[in-house]
Amino acid sequence: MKNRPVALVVLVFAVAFLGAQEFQEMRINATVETRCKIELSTNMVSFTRFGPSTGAPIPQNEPPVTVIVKTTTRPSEKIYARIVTSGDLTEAKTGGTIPAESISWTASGGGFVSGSLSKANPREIGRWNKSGTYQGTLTFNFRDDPSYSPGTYTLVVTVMVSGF
Amino acid sequence: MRARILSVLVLLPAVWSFARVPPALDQVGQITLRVSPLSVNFRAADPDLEPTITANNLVLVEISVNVSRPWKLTLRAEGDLKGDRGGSISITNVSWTSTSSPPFINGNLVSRNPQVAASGQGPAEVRGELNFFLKNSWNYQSDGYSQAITFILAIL
Repeated sequence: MKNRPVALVVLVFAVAFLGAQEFQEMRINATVETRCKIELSTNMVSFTRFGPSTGAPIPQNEPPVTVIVKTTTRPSEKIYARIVTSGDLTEAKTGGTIPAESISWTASGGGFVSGSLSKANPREIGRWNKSGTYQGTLTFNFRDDPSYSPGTYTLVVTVMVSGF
Repeated sequence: MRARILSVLVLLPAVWSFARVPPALDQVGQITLRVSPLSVNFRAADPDLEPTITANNLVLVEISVNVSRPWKLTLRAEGDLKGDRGGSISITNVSWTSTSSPPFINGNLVSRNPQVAASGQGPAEVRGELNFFLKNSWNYQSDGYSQAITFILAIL
């Protein structure tokens, strides 16, 4: 008998509290697409042979090339950065060539790998498996050979990044 | 004698409560909240070019309070932005600004933690627009994300 008023009070309070609020629900949707980009600190490196060739590797004249890869990707995708060349180093006046394979690089930074150019196949410079920003450096070397005639040889390479 | 005293002690809170209940019950139907539209979208964008993505629509909020009591509007995110493939983006990356300040204030969403978006003293008729933003990042997984946000208008 004594408990009834207490039970009633609790019930009335609950009703009053519910009546003092209003709710509206809104949905927030967001889309993130797969995308990637690559940034290089320079678009040219050069090598200079001073004096007679000794056959020793010649480092690039410039500071290491900074490479930044940015990507948003699906969990199952892998991101590859590759360097592609379509031919050998060519001397414009004489038409002489030096194999692209004579140029190699040493990489630093997470996911970046060292390697050498190949005119037959794209070569990997880095691989990652999740979204993010990845920074590394590439230091190129030229493997000189006494048989290479003096001259100015040039080669255009393409650095690309893609997801699979 | 002891039993009578006990009865009085039990009944007094009951009488006191009944005396206070009618004004509270009068509030039912005397506050209204309208939100439009009921969804907003953030399109995909390059994080370098658009570090902050603006939602596709402004959100119109209309509040009507017909009682002489303080009121408060809060926004409660029911969780982080959930991706279709299981990934997530912290809801703290979603913020809003208001075109009508006061009573609206700018803020950031926090998962399951209501954040004040406006407050005032009733009676009041208030109308404002909220602009939502998503902090963009290269760290997000590519996916479609979604989450519910609850607007709560409460009389204090």
